[in-house]
Amino acid sequence: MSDHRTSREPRRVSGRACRTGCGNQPGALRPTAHFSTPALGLVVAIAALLGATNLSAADQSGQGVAPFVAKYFKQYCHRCHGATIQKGERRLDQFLANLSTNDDAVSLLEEALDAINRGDMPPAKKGVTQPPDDETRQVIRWITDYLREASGARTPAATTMRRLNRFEYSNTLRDLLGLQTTAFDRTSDFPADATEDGFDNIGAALTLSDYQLQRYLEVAEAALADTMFFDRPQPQSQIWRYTGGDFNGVTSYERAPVTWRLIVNDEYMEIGHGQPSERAANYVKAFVKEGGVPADGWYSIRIRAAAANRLDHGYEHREFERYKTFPLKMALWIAPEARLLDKNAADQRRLVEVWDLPDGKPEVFTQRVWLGKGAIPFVSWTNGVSSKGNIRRVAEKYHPEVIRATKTQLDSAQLGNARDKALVAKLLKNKDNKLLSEVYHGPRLRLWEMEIEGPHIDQWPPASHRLIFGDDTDAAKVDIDQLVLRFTSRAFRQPVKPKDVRHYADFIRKRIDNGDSPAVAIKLGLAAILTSPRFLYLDEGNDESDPRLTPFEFASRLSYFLWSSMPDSELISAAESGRLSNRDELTSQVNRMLRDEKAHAFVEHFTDSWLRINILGSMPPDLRTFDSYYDDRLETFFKQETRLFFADLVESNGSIVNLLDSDYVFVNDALAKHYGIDNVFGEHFRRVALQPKHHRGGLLGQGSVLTVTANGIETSPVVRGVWVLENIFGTPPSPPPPDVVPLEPDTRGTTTIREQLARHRTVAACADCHRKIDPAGFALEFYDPVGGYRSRYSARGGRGIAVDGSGQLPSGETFEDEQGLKQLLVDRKDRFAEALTAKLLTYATGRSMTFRDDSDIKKTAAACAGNGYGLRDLIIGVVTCETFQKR
Amino acid sequence: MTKRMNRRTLLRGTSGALLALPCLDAMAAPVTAAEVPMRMACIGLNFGFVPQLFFPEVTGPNYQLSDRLQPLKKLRNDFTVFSGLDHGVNGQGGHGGVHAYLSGVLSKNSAGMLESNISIDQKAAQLVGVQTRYPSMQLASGNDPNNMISWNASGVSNPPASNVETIYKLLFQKVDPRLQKTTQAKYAARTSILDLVKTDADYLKRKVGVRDRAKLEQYFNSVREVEKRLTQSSQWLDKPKPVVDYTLPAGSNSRDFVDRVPFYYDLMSLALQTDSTRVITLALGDIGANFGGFKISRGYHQLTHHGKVPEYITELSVIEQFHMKQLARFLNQLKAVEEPNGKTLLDNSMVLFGSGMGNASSHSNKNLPLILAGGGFRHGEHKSYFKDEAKKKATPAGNLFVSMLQRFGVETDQFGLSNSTLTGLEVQG
Repeated sequence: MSDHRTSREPRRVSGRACRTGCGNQPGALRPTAHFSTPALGLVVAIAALLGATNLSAADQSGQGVAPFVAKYFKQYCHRCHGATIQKGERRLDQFLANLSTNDDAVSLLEEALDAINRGDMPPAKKGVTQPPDDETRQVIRWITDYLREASGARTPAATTMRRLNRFEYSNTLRDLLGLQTTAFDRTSDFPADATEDGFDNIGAALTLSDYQLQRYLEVAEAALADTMFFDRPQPQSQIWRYTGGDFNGVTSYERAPVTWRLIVNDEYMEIGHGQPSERAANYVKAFVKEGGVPADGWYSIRIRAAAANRLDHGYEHREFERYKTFPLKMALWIAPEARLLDKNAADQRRLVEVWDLPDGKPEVFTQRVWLGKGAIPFVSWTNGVSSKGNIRRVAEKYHPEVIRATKTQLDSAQLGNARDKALVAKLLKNKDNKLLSEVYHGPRLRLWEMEIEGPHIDQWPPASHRLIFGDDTDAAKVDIDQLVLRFTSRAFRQPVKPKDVRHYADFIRKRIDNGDSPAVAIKLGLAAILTSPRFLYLDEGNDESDPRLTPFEFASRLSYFLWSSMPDSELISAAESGRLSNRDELTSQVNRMLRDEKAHAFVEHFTDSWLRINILGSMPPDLRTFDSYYDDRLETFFKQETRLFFADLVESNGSIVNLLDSDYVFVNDALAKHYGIDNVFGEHFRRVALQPKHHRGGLLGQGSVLTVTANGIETSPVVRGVWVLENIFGTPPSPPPPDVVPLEPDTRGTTTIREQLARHRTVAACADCHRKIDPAGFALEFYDPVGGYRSRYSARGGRGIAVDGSGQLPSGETFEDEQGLKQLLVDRKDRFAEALTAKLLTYATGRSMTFRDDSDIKKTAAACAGNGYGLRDLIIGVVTCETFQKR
Repeated sequence: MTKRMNRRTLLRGTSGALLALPCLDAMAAPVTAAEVPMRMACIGLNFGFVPQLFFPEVTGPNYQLSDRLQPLKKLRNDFTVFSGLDHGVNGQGGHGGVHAYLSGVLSKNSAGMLESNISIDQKAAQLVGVQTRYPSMQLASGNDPNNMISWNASGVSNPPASNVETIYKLLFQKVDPRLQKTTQAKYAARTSILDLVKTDADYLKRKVGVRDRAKLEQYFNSVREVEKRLTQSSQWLDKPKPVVDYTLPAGSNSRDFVDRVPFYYDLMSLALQTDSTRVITLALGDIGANFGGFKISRGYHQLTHHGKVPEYITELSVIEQFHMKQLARFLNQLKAVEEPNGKTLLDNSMVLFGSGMGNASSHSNKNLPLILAGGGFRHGEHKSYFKDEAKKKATPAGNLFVSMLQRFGVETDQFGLSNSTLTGLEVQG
């Protein structure tokens, strides 16, 4: 196996993203080797027959290129690049009979392909014979396929030692140190990890920079400081009770302010304004003065609140329309420090929970939450009246008698502005009438009470301290050798020999001798362990000497697959006793692990990477056209829907065919509205049966997928078509040849995207691939850039043209719309099962699959299919298959 | 190390956006002409420019400024505008190609390259980074992990600072002398930790295979880099930061894009002038809330998908024109500073301005809009490097980077996927 870092990868194969689409999917078009092409189908077949596992394309040496390719080169190239003449020092006759995958041969072939693709070669000169387009196209296709396979052959069939990615690192710290990471994730500013085919846990792709290492050092020290409780007094639990009058409101308004915060009779505070990510915080003034919560820990927060006048206000206003289908919603937020209550710091606060408010009579809402010292809880109205102007407009229309002159108007009148002078004079008569705040009765949130209790302490020192130091609170009494031995075996996820970690104990002792306090010295010693490569990387031994994983390496692999974190003690003891090699025991471990809360990490990160949902938000949809995307928090709900859908299949061992098409969805009120489903009220998600008129079902009906395959502004059948090929079929198309003239959209009304693509397909170099790519994309044209259903395109100032969602697959089958397409996909469910297996294995092993893994993938997928396509069965199949068991 | 490090500088200027950089030579410690260093600032726009409005029609010294270049009219002889340069196949990927702006190579294509997809600023910082408080600085108008433009030799992006107040503090906030000792001790402890973990790296090295050893090598490299950084930081700890008569107005970081961008430029000018660093990048991305404060009615990204609709292009031009005016303002700031070698700060700073995006409307990364100003090059031309006008076959933009690096003092004849220096780009006589 060649050294991956120093060998020159065949860059060109993966180096092109289609410029006719958006290109916003990093690596979207990188070919994976998991499918056989005409060129190497034979090799794969032989490999399968022999059960060979390490057959590389190099084994093809001795084979030549296809006869028609050889003929092409002889006829059009060899006069100038043959045995006699070598123009530009390029000789193109030697590899024809004997192909090799060594660097030089591959580069030469790449070069030739580029030149042919660009149309540079053969040169358009007098006396040079030009090949017919048809022949050129076939030759291009053959070389492209060959290079793709060659690239696959050189991709290592073993996992490269992988660094913990950001999420794995954070979760591992959580489990190793017993830390709370939900309250404050210290890794949130880590650089994004490099991805391969959308996965950010691929050993070969993950890198380590000096900046990252520096952050590891800093975070290790900070995290340990949160964990250690030597000589720290136990904080006392307290209760803080506040009523409406304690909040940051005022008692009267004569005109609508930016934020409507009114304290009524000292009983409750009314909040009349609010947005999904609210800049204005509604907090208790006295609690801020106290400096927030006095210590880290768990707190209970109880809030008594209600919705007022959701429907019975009598005002007609566009913005109040939404309350006919939505309850008023209250969010609980945490500002980690008082200064983050500032309106410009909204993005540094944490949203904990959103509740549907009852109309009229207040209810108590309770949340247990981890708060860091100094944190301040507050609430907001997430689907509130968004604009300050709206309350004013309502007042002008319904309560003209309370309107007073504004300061601006007064000033202007003072300066002699005639219009304002008249206005001020006219409004003067209102001065003894009621105030706006007394008469306005639009929808608003009523906040009655807030109670904060904590920190709840079940034991002292806290669990995190006990996990590492036991109940000892005197650092001087700690047995340093024992501590280091215990801590390293957990941190390195396997038993360690005392001699291999003695340097840490020596380091701690030396620092104490040099004047550090024992607690400080221990902290630095443990911080060093958390900076060690044995902690930061998953060490799976040497595949060259032995491809099998040791039981501990296997336990780690399993644990990072299902939990994105270190193995727990039960898994370690199963490894220790050798029970993991028993299939039944392994299956029951997997079932146990999937039941654990930590398995959310699998659902989240796998769907994020596989479906590319992690790029949601990187191409923000247009604010005006798609305002509901922001107002109704659709981005958050899109992710939740997909995760819930997938998690449900895992839990119920549901059929993976549901991912292609389903007769149900998981939605809440906002998503239901977006999808045109009636009678769904409230924030929580629930399973709802679908009807054909909803045009939903399967992944292709989900907002997450439809939004990541658009660019926020317009849709492209190419991007969506590529997405289907890549994620449903596992057969990404070849990247386009260089120097294809990109489509520059012209939306001045003359051409539709369909017409533009049709023109594109008249180009020989494009036709082959776009025949495969475009059809699925056409069917998905029924969905706008944020996944809303449309039967017509929107047009400025009029009725847009009707969407034509028909198409024909390369196999000849035709369909009329997205439902027809989904049926054809369901017909191909076995192919989908293989594609999903390959994706699961990629995520599970941390390496790209190659054609050498093909037979194992097919076998695993087939077993799952034979058993009813259950997703949990497939996961167990993945864990028990040979590919997962080996490095 | 040179004497310049200890120099306390006093800059007089008004606070806020209107900054006049003062003449320094009266108060600066004597610096001989030979010691005046070359600096580099690279500014990248994530969305590029509308090509037909950016590129002048005629090439050569007598070209007529395009619409877009009008704000640079008075600086005509201080910059060169290029056409026919791009990164070829290896920089293509639509929006995903923008991060190759300063490296010429997409991140995913850089495996196996000696210094991965290192960007030109980091190549320059390798040479001079040890001589200043900050080896290099990365600034950005927003936090956008998909559009990183500065990449180190391990193929990892350098995260930029986008908060103008943070940047200001890095450059000018005094270090509390009481904290010096504990900070010094912290640095020392970290250095000893790094020393310690090498034992484990060696342990793994004996155990793992060849491919894994390459990953460990990356670990060792990072350890060495952090050690160097810690040493550098502790050497600078007791040296006072330059004193400048420039403050940011309150709440400057929460201002709209139009009001915030000038601060980045001001801080860049000051950083270069005070020799706090010699290498800076600035990435200018989305305009954020409130349409960035521009008098437009659509988002930046939406406008780049103008579909040739005239009113969209008109709105897009508002943003593009703003960027060009900011560049003009920045170049004027640099030009107003006279340095001890009798030249201006602009002469001593090469400023690259452009984008990894050739045409955002079609997501093309070809024919990149690029401007090089200052740096002592002979300017005043529109230079075209199309190898074949008809086919629009471009020259590697890496060639320009090689010429810049050579001028900067880096001994190299290759960068990224360059194939030579940029012929015809000359240094002033």
